[in-house]
Amino acid sequence: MTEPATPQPVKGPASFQVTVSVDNNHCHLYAICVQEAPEVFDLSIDGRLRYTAKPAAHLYEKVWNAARLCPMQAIHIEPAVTVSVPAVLNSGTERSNSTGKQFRSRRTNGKAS
Amino acid sequence: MTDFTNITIIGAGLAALRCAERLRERGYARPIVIFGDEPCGPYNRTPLSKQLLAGETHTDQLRFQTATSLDDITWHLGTRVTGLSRDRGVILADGTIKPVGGLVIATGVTPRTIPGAERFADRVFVLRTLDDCRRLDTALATARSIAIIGGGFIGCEVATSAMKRCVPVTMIDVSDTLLSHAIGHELGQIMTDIHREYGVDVRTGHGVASLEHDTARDTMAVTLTDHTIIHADLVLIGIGTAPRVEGLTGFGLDLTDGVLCGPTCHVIGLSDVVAAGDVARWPNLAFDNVPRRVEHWINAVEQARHAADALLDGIETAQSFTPIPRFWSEQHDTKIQSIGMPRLGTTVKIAEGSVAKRQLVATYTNNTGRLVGAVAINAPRALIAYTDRVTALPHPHTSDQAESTQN
Repeated sequence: MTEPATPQPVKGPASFQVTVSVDNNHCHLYAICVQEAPEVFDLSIDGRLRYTAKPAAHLYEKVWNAARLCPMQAIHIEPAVTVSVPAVLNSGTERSNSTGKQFRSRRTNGKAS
Repeated sequence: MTDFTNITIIGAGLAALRCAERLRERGYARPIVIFGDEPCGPYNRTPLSKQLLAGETHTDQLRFQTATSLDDITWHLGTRVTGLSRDRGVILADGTIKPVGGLVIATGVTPRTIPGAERFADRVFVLRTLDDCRRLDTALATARSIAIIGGGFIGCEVATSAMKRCVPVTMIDVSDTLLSHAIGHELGQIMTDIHREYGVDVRTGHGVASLEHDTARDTMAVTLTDHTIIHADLVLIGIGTAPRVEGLTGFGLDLTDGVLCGPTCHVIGLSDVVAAGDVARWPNLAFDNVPRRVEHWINAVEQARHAADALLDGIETAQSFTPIPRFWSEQHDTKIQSIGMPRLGTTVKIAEGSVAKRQLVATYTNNTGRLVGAVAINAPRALIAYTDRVTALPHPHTSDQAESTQN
């Protein structure tokens, strides 16, 4: 299986196909994503978030801005990299998690193929 | 494009991360070196006062995702920068000097506190870092009550989380309402009412005269300026922040209330130094020419990316950074969202919705009639339409008075 291609360095808007998913357990419907990428995200009048899972490649920058600016960090994009710098995030006291699943630390991209 | 031998970022928070990500996106391939004095790399601070303190999330969920790999960045964590040397280096606590090509200042802010509070370190808290959050979390587990000094966002969010944990809260604010600094008196009153309905004992209109340990009761005694004494097991101080500029001397920078920048985010007087995030004071020409700091999480992301572009493009061709600032908060199941700069408004109007329903959008206009901001309570969808209206109007240039915008 080949590594997914990575977006090339750009000055202007990049064009690259990504896959979007929103974690409904975390989304609080702030609709920042709708402000950033209305072509991809929509908050319906009944208060539900709808989105296009495979937005057009030219929307790459907008989709990533939506993910970066999401207040709940509930938007996940593939390919992406989960930042794991030398971290002590998980040391110390931890309480049990009352809202369910955790994100797995994952690496879907990163090393040049 | 400017080609630096390295790009050094002082600060290892959200702005540093997003700046580094953008530098790599832009194809900057030489070393990126990041210095941060916390022991860990970038993590999301916004859940600390909300979901993390309330026990609704886990520290593993504080990690960020990036679009590009940052594996090849050199992280100097737990490392304090103590100064800048004139022969282009950052000076570390042990005297080492590390050479600098391009420089990004993203040191952030530190909570302000009350003189003498450090004497009660096991009882009196601030909240900025994960370490702060863990200590407060542990203390709340056995506390019978908490007094919160300062009715800003941190105070109101911690009040919400403490009430969820069934720890009674007394909130103290010198203003007439909570959150008045950020959203004004009218909406501040709505939020004050909501906090009271959820059982928070809100005391407004008086500041704190003294903070002492009452040995007889084994409580903290907070004496207000009207001589009222509030007893609580714990105290949280949320009275705003101070920009972290203590390690930035040596380049002759203007460090008055943060790092003074021009419209492009270049630090004044330097073509190879930019600043981003809570510490940066710059004029947002979409509104006026007054340099301000904007302590919004969204601004840290947007400004960091802009600063990366500005550094690579060079001061001659870099664009001005002219965002419409945005923030959000959530308190007692109530969403507060803002666009623009409500604080510049002189007239507040409920544009749609109603106070009674606790679902509304308020508009803020300045004395020239320009819409400068809008705040929504429980109305995220309705707020979207106001973004364009704040963006669309002309840019009157007003006074030169310095000020800062918090949260």
